[in-house]
Parts: sequence; C-alpha cells; structure tokens
Amino acid sequence: MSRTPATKRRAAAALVLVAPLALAACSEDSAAGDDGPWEPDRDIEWIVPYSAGGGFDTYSRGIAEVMQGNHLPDGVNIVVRNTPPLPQGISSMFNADADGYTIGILPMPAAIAQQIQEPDLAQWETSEFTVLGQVDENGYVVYVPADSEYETIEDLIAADDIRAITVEQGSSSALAGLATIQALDLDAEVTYGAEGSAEVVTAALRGDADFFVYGSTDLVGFVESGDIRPLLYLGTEDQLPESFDWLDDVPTAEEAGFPDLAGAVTELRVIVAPPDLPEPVAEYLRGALADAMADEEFIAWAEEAGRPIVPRTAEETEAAIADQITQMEELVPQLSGS
Amino acid sequence: MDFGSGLVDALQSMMSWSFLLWFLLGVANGTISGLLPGLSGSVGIALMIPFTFDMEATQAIGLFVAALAGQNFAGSITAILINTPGSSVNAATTYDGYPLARQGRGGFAIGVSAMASFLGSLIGILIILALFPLTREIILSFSFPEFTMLGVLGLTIIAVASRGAMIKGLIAGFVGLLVSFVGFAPIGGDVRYVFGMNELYDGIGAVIVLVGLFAITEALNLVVQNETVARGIGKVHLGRAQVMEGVRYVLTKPFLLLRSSVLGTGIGLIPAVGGTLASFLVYFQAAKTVKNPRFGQGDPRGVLAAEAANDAKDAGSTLPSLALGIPGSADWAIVLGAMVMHGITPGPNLVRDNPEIVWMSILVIVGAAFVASSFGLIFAPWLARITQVRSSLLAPIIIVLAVTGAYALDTRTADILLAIAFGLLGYAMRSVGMPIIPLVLGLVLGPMVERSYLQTVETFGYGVFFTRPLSLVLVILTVAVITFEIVSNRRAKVSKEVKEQGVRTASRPAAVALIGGIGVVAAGALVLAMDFRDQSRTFPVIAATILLALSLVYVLIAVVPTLRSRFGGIIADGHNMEQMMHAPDGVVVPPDGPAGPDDDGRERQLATMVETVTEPVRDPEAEKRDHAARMRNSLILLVVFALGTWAIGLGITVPIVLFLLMRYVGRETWRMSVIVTVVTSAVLYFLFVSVLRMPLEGGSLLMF
Repeated sequence: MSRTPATKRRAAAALVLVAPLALAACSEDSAAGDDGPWEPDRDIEWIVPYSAGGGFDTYSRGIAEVMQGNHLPDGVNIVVRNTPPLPQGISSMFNADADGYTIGILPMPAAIAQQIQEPDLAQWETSEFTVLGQVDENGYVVYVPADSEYETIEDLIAADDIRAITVEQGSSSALAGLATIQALDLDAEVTYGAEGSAEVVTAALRGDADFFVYGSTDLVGFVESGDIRPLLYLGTEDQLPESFDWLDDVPTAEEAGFPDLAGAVTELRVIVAPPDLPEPVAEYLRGALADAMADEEFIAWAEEAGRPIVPRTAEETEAAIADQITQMEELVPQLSGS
Repeated sequence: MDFGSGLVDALQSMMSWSFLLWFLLGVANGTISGLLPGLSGSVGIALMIPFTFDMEATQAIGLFVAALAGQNFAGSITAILINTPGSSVNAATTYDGYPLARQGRGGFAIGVSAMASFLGSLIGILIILALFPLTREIILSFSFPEFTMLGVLGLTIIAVASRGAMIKGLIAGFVGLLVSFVGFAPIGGDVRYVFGMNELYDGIGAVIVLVGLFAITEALNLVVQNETVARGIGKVHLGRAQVMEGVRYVLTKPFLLLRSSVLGTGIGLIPAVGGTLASFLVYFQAAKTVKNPRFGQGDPRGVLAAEAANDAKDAGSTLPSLALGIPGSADWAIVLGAMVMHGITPGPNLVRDNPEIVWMSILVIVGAAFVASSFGLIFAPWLARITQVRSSLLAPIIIVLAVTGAYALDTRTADILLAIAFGLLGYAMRSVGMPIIPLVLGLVLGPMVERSYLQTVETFGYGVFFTRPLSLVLVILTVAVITFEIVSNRRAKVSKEVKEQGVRTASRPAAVALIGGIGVVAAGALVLAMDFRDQSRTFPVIAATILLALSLVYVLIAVVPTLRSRFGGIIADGHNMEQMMHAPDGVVVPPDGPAGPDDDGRERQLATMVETVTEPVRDPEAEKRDHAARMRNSLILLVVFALGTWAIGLGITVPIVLFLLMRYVGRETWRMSVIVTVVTSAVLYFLFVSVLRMPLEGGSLLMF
C-alpha cells in the first residue's frame, strides 16, 4: 500500500506510542464502572450499513473527519467501516459492545420497516438504540423524466398502467414509492433492484419507467441539468430545505390534497450507538457529534459537497424516531398487504 | 467554460510538483494493492480517502483515478507469475501468462502485459474522446434485456473455455452460479443459502473465492509437486532482454491490439457490465480469430488480448461514471464517492461545470497506465525471479499472504475459512481435471444475469429479448457461439485410444466422488430453493436442476459399464484450456532464441511434445510416497490453519502454520524455516497492522 505522508507520520507516531499504549491497555477500565466524565482513548469504529460512495457513506465520512480533527482527543480516530447489506450492518451496530467505541449511522424508516417486514433477519429493536443525533432528513419527491408526457401529479394520477423503478425492496425509497402509489391510488407496477440513484435515473431516462420516488437531496444534479422534473414533494413544509429553490414551485403532498402522505415516509440519517450505552459515554459522544455538526468546517464541507444538513439533538431525534415507528407499524402491514 | 478549455485548466492544475507526487502515490497504491492477492484496488482507494480531506479536490481526484488505473496491470503480474489474478478482471490472463512463466518466460509475459495495458488504455481514451458527443445515446441504448444477454453471452464462454472437458466445465460453471446465490437475492427480498450465518448475508465475495481457487490451489500444487514455477529450466536468462522482447512483441500485433482494445472500451462503456466480462470475451474473441492459436499453452497473444481489453475497459467506463454518475465498476463507485466528498458531483453537470475534472481524469488514466507499466518493466526482471524461488519457500508465503489479504478485506474470520475451503475445493477440482475458471465466470456473472433477467421480465415481459434490436443481436451471437462450439467439437477427430484414455481418467473414483458430492449439494440446494419466494426462486431452481442433472449423467456414465462404453465420449477428458496450462511438463523452451509463436515448425513441435513427453522418472515408488506425504501434510496444515484462525486468531496462527508448512511440507532446514517465518511475519505485521490498520482480533477460544 502506498504510504502517504500522513501514514508515515502515523506509523512513526505508532512506534513512539507503543509503550504508553501498552501501559494504558493494562490500566484500561470499563467505562460503565464510574460515573465520572468519559473520554475515548482509542479509535472509534463508525459503521455504515451501505457500501462506500453512497449518501450515508458520504455524510459519515464528512462528520467523522471533522469530529476526529476538532472534537476528539488527539490520536483518537474514527474508522468508517462499510458493512452492507442493510440488515447485517444494522445488526452489527445493535449487537456491538456498548462501550462507546462502536457507533454507526442508521437509516430511518428503513430500520423499522425491515424489522416489521423481515423479523427473522432484523436482529435488532429499533427503539432500543442509544440515539446520539441526526445529521439530515430527506423528504421524498416524485420525479418524472424531463421529456415525460406527465406535466403535473394529476396527470400521473390519471394515467393507466404506468411503471416505477426503485432500489431494493424494504429500502426507505421503495417504501416511499409504495406509500405514494397507495395514497394516490396510482395504476402502477414497480421494478425493483436498481443499484443506487444513478441507475434509477438512467432507467427512467431510457424510458424503462414512467416515474420514480427518490430523496430530495440525492438527485439535485439531475434536476439542475434538466434531465428529470419533480412533480410532488412528499415531506412536510418544515422538512423543506431552504437552499432548494427548485422545490419552491413543486406542490407538497398537503397542497395536492394528500395530507396523510406528507412526511409519512421521510428518510432520517441518524447516528446511534448500541443499546444501554453508559450515560457518561453517551453524553460525551452526543456532545462531540453536536459540536462536529455545528462546526463551520463541516458546514462548509456540506455546502461544497451539495449535501444539505438538518442536524437535530438526540432528544429531538428520539422523538422523530418514535413517531416513525408508530407510523410504520400502521403503514407497513398495509403496504405488504397490497 | 466550454469543454475544450477545460483541457487547458486541467493541464495547468496538473503542472505542479504536489500533483505529480500525489499522482505517483496513487499509482503506487494501485500497483501494490493489485499485487497483493486478496486486496482489490477498491480497498486500496477506500483506505486513502481519510488522508485526502485536506487536499485540493483536483489533487485528491488525481490520486484516486491514478490508483484505479494503476492496479489492472499489477494484477496481471501475479496472474502471470504465480497463477493468482490480482482480481477477477485478470483471471483470463492466467490462461497464457502462467504457462509462459512456467516455461521460464515470465519476464516476456510481463513485457507483453505492460505494453498491452498501456496501449489498450491509450486506445480506449482516444475512442471515448471521439465518442464523447454520443455518450448519452450509447449509454441509454443498453437496458435490462441487453445486460442480461451480455451476461448470458459471457456464461456461454464457459462452454468454450472448457472444451475437451465440456461437462466438467459446465458443472464448474453451475457451481459458480450456486455460490453466487448465497446471501441476499438481488430481487425478491429472500436471503438464500446462509444457514443462519451472519457472515454469508452479503454473499461470498469473488476476491475470497479467487484467493482460494487460485492462490491456495496453486501454492498447494507447487509444494506438493516440489517444483519452482519455471521448471526444469536452470539456465534461462530472466533478464531485461526478455521483457523488452515482450514490449516489442505487442507492436508486431497491431490489429489484435486494436481489436481487443476497441471491444474492451465498448464493454466498459456499458454501465453495470464488469471488467471480468471484458477480458474473457476479448480473450476468446482472440482465441477464435487468430491464426495458429496455441491458447492455453503460453500464447503471448492471449496475454495481449486480455490485458489490452482490461485497461481499455477502464478507459471506457470513465464515460458512464463521470457523465452519468453510474459507477462502471466497484473501483469507480469508490472514486465517485470520493469526488462527492470533495464537492464534485459526478453526473450530467460535471461535463458542463467542471470539464477540467473530466480532462484530468482522462489524462491521469493514460498517465497512470504508462507509469504503472513502466514500473512493471523496470521491476519485471526481479519480479520474474519469483518463478525461480523454490516452492518450499514460495508456496507457504503465498498461502499466508493470500489468507491475510482475504482477512484484511473485511476483517472477518469467516472469509479466511471460506478462502481455505475454496482452496481445497480448487485443489480437488484440479486433481480430477475439472477447470476452475468456469466457476469464477459463473460466480461473477451470476448476480448480473439474475438481477437484469428479473428486471427485464418484470418491466417488459419475456418476449422482449427478441424484439429489441440490440438484444436480438446478442441472442444471435450467443446461439452462434454455442453452435460453433458444438460443430467444431464434433469435427475434432479424436483417436480411439485417446478417447479411451480420456474415459478412463474421467471415471476415476476421485472424479466420480467429487462430482457425486456436487450432485448431492445441488439436490440440497434445489430442496432449499422451494421455500424461497417467487422471484428469488427462479434462478436457484434452474441452476440447481441443471447441475443435478449434469452430475447424475456424469456419475451414471462413469459407473455403469454399458453406458460408459456407449456414451463415454460425453465425459471423456480431453485437453481443456486449463489442463493445457499445466500440461507442458518437460517442455523446454530453448533459453536463447525466442519461441516465436509465428514460427510454425516449432509450434507444432511443442504441441506434440505436450502430448508425448512425460517427466523423467527417477524412482516412481519413492516419488509417489513423497507426493502423498507432502499432500497429506499440507492438507492437514490447511485444516489446522482454518481451525487455528477460528480458535486463536490470525495473528498467532500465521507464523505457526507458515513455519510448519516450510518445515514439514517444504522440508526446509530448521534455521531457514525460522528465519523466513520471522521475516515474513514481521513484514506482514508491518504491512497489514501498522500501515493498513487491520485490527488483529483473537479467536473464539483466545480473546485479546
């Protein structure tokens, strides 16, 4: 492997640090033992249940970088680990030791939907995660290719025998698509199995699908280039990111007369730790995360990367997750039944 | 900013010492991760991401693209020298590269590969520049039916690749398909064949299977046979002259080079179709279109075609990756992610907003191919010496290096156990003359064919394969390949004696046992598949049924005398591509004077020698006992390796097994074994633990 100067420095540092580290290892005490303030003294593993390169991965690496640079003790790094597929990734987040050295990014409502739909696979209890905070929420949008004959959402509702394309079953986007089809009573079939947003868009551009439901933050480039058009915004008013002028003229689900659909499925990117994380550890990590998300360096990065951020505190996030769990417990059985 | 002026900007930002430094580091990263079996380029790239946050975007992207473009060639070096492709895209190179190495012409093969890689990349880039205005149309004209048919065409190569042992090749291919079903179904939502094991949910990685089937199998073979890679050739000069001869050789085959590069670029252009398909399709295109082919026996044109296609494919996949944001490969997926992190969004706006990034990527791809190939040419004479290292030292090192690489990928103990299991499977397959490359093809192409087939049927219905023009062309091509194969197989005259000999070897108890075992697995897979949901069931049922039928036919013909005498020809062993790879025992290429493959006389002479010359036998009984002992010890040690890793972890098991392999299989002296163990362990520790930060975990019984 090539050794960048940073690795060289690190390797050298590692040699110098061997002795004190060995001593530290001997005296390492369990965080749960005392109630005093806690600080990490080794690398923290950050689990991403998707492969590298996607939205969750990008956010994770963005935060991890700022957090380890400015908000963790020197020498403590965050190691991002991609562990797809989703159920396995979430399971490993849930079942890791609750010692503060394993955290991860949890996709909501996919986590709770999987738990309801595939109880055998979902070796976790969504409500039991220790919530550390939220970095973004992503309202869904109904899109059509630019040259589509459907100009408004009413056209789509009136159309017969149309087709949607989406990613794998059980993902948040697929759920949002199903919820939309059901709420608008569309005469639509779904093709599953696209690998990522770009494949969804190209399938629609080829004419293999008439419409698709995808996150508002994922396809900004294709909207701006004029390849696809948004028809309906499925989030609530306060989930609408201010920077998205292209969504200004798009009707929301509420305006279009489907208040139940508004915010029914909104993707939350939540940072969690395993259940029963000792309070001092949780407090420390929540603080470091909040500081990192408020850090100007991170805000500048997000802007440059075209990744909107909607940070929320652990408390707010917990409430939002509880809401989604209630919603999904009602919605998912209906969708699977349809 | 228009597209042309982006070139000027790109050149300006590239004309700095720091850019050059990052570029070279990227190439070095790609080269090293390509050289290490088990570590694929995408892992190398992912590892660099954290170090680039503070870098300027153009430099960071230069670094990533350089790593991506630099790795292909490096993977061919191990494919040639130790029959272990760096990743599945280099698997086709083993067909001819390794036989060349065995004939003492490893340096020559590396020269061919280096030059073909560089020129393939250059031609690919020129093509995509010419096609740039048409990018969109080309990319959008391929949909699910075309993806399916491209995959099917790739799978029919199995039949071609296993000519001479057709039924065994097909069985191997279907085993590969079955392995590809493990884990999440691409569509349908089922989890298949995981037996409650978490580690299997994401499927069995191609890299793990490659490490097992190639690295471990080959190392076992070398140490059991007690040979160096380049055998019986004491005085061959492995110097630079040989390497340069390879370089010049490529220039004497301009049309093959052009053809292979064009095809490779074309396959790269199609999103979602991988490089493995490119190198195999082009390899067999070459095998079918050149004069006097000696493919599988060290024909340098095989290396040329596969490697040119391989690098041209990377050039081709730049377009879908940058212009639409569809990753052309796993490596591109990581690079695209890294771009986003640096504030550059691949996709339709990139060409408009950041043409300099597109230009820079293009220039870096060619530049990296050039630099990587030059590295290769400079170091080839030394690298080729590997083929003269005695197997008692080389093989144990290959085994532990490959296993550690497999572990480093995801740091999962299960991967080590899988790699070892596939090593044993590969060894069993090889010893009964069953080709292993079809298994790789089935494994790599299976998911693509299954996913796009189900998407096709869901979106368009069944008839669409014949109604879309492009898809129809691919259907016709597939049928043509199969027909051609059947007809030419029938025409091939096989003497009665050879056929009887083939039937005899094909019905050995070991072969019948292995294939019977595969049949039992197929039956089990079929029963389990009944519980899957509709869409997840289609492919497993088809594949398991065919596999079961093939195994039954084979076993019945082999064990029932009347059937054997009537239909023996169906199962008879012939000289399939892979057997040829290992056949030229005793074939000695004269050390001076290149073995010009155009020199017809010598070619034929060689070909006959392959069939008639047997190794000089000293004391057959003693040698046999010696072989048996080596084989027994090495198999025991592999099982110990697997158990040890499970029980006490990799960190302790590696040195122990390495030492035992050298001492009790390789029969090295105590001193030598200890020295090599200590040095190798230290190097591995430094590389994987210190540099790559691989966590060393204990096992189930010993935690630390």
